[in-house]
Amino acid sequence: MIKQQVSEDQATAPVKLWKVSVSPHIKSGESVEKIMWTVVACLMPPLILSVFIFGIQTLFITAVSVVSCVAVEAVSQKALGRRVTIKDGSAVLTGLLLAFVIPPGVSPLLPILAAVFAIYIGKHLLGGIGYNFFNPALLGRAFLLASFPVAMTSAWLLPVESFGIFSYLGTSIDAVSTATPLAVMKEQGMAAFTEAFGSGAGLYSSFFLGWRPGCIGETSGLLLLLGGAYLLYRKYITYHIPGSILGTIALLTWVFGGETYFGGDPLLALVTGGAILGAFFMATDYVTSPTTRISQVVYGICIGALTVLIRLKGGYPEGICYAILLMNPLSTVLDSWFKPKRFAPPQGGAE
Amino acid sequence: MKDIITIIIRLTVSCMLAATVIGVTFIFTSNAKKHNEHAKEQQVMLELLGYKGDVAVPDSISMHEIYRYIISGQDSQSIGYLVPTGHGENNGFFFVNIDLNGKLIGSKRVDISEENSRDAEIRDIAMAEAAGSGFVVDFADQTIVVTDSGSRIAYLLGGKFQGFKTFINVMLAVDPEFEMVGLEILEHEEDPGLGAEIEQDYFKNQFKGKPFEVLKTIDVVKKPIPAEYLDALNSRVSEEDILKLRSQYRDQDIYALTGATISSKAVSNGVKNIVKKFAYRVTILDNVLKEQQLAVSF
Amino acid sequence: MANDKSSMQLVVNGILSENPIFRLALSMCPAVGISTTVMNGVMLGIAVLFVQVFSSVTISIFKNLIHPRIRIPTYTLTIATWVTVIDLVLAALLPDAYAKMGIFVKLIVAFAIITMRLEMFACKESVKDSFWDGLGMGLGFMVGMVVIGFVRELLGSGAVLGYDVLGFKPLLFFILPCAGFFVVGLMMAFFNWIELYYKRSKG
Repeated sequence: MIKQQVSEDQATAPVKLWKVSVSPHIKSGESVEKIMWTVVACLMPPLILSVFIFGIQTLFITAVSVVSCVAVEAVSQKALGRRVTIKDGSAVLTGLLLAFVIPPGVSPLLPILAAVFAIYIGKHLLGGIGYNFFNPALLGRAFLLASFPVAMTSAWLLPVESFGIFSYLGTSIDAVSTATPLAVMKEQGMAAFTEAFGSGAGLYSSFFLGWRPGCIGETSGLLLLLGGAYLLYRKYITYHIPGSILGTIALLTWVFGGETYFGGDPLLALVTGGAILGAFFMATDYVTSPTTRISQVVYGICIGALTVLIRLKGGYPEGICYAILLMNPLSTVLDSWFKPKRFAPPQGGAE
Repeated sequence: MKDIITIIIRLTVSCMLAATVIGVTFIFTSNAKKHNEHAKEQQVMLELLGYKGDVAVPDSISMHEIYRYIISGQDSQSIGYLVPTGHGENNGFFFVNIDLNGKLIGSKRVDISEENSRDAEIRDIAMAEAAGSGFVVDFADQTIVVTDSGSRIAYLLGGKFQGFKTFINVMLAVDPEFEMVGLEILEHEEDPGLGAEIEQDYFKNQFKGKPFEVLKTIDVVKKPIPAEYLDALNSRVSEEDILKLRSQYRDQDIYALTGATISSKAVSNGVKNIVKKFAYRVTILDNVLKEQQLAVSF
Repeated sequence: MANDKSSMQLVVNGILSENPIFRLALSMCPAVGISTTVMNGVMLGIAVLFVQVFSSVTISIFKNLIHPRIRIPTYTLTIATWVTVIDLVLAALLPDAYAKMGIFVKLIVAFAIITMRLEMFACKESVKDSFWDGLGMGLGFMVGMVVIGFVRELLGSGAVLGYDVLGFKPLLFFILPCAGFFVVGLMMAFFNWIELYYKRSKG
């Protein structure tokens, strides 16, 4: 009865007041721009810390990456006749994440090439903003890894000593390059790892704070966790994807990672490599991850399992990049498998 | 019914036609194909010995193929060699059976021509016959002894070992003192840009000129190659300088490829094992041949 | 069904408007698998050209004798025969090239483009037209392979036809199999774009 009344009211009301649009109808203060810039802000502390770990050139590489991503975004949107949306921060975020997953000793030309591939081919030719099915930053990294395998697997730097942030400027990278903890563990075994990086509580704490060789932004686990926690607090992301990824990596490494079953070191698996960065900032990308809760958990478990599989059995020491890239196109499939329950019955519809 | 019969007849006729066409082509091309396969192998061998491009091979150089088999009986295992007796008129092979301690079990003449010996099937049958009933023969490898007017100048050894991904198939040449003459990577599936660099000159040439003492304990070092040595490895400097630098870096371990330590290590270990095992075996074989006074061609 | 195109039109048709790789999107596996250099493209293109022409002509000659119920097996038999012949001849005459791509030559048996042309064209048309159609399709395939091979060789190993033009390897990515998909996809988009542009400018 009430409904009828409403519709009668509608009929009598002036047409202008009613604006018909598609869902969602709930309004809030959030917008794409705000979310993107918040994520960018959350990534600032690890970036600043990386300067004190690997030297000033990380800032330079990141700047090149961000600028080229934004430039490529603008050019490709112009060329394809789309609306230019560089102000929404998504290109800045891609550039930042791209710089975070490359080694600190590479030439600054590499991020430019990766930006072209990631933004133009990976994002705009595969659908454009909101429709791309691969995470552009990781696609850029995969492209670099395939194109410059030597630089991307050997340009690691040891953390600088006594805050000498300019110490790597002007030196030949070949002479100072080292190996990442995961690579040492994989290629030379646990004994060499202990010899190179030490053991015990000091090892975990220095790894967790970020003082270890690795990609520019992946090392400082503490600051990445704090950033992720802020995103959780603001409800920009939920705990499902990061929780299931990190949980699966820890569990599977504990079971299969050691010399005997149940002999692996789950904590070490989380603080080495890019697990935390990938779980909080890469896998939770809105466009390329599933939307329903169950499929998010399945997605996270699959990423974690693939990561451990690549780390333990694959050809590369770190596998989270490929694990996320492999699961990205499956996220829509997962969504259609785990559809939320429909409240309206299929026949007749709501009365 | 009639349909089926026509179908059968037409299919049969077309199959026969096809078979005729293929057969005729096969007859016309088989000789050339066989020749090509052998020529390719020959070319790799000659290049390893230093006869590259236009440098003609002198007539005094000849190659003698030794085939090694593993002969397993019910509870014993021994090594059987097919050793050539000579080129031309008295060509044929000796079958030499040596137990694992280096003692001769028996030897006899095997009448199989040099041409036929290249055909694996014919060779296997002849070998099984020579070994006698109750023994199983398995082909192990093939070594080529290169002689220059009767005296040995090099051995060519083939080998296969595990690389980073799948097997790496190599051929290498050592001189009678087991000093490396050259290395050629025949087949591999390493990652392009990383492990695949093992087929580059600057990696392969590092093995050249390493004496047996160094090869026995050779390992890789994770250091960049010094610039002057790199130039020599890539043959960018004069012949004398190459020789000078080669002897200067003679006792140096192999410089690993950047980003591909495992592949580099696989090759250096593989080469080390091949040469070490061969040196051991050929000494035993030589002793046996000398004791028995078998007239072999090398 | 009589064919109303001239022999020249048939050839051009195969190269441009019905290019097997870029327009029909058939036989993509070799296009991504082996097109890492121009020379590979040329070699496989020649092999496909011969097989296509010979099979088209053979089927066209015997089109009235082929029983309709077993025509697909007959096509396969014909293609397999010619592939074996080409395989043997290549092994005898061009051993170096054969060592590199022998496995792909044997794969020609399964190329969709050849069977498709036999079914669509050769089994209905005259011998002469089938010859020109086969030639056009073979050339079209070769052109496609050469274009892809050129892009991948230049970007992947910095060379053209084996001659070093850049002096360094710019982007190793392009000689990996995955880049084959990217290059084919980008090329398709490029040719579609040219066609659109051409149609638009014509009005």
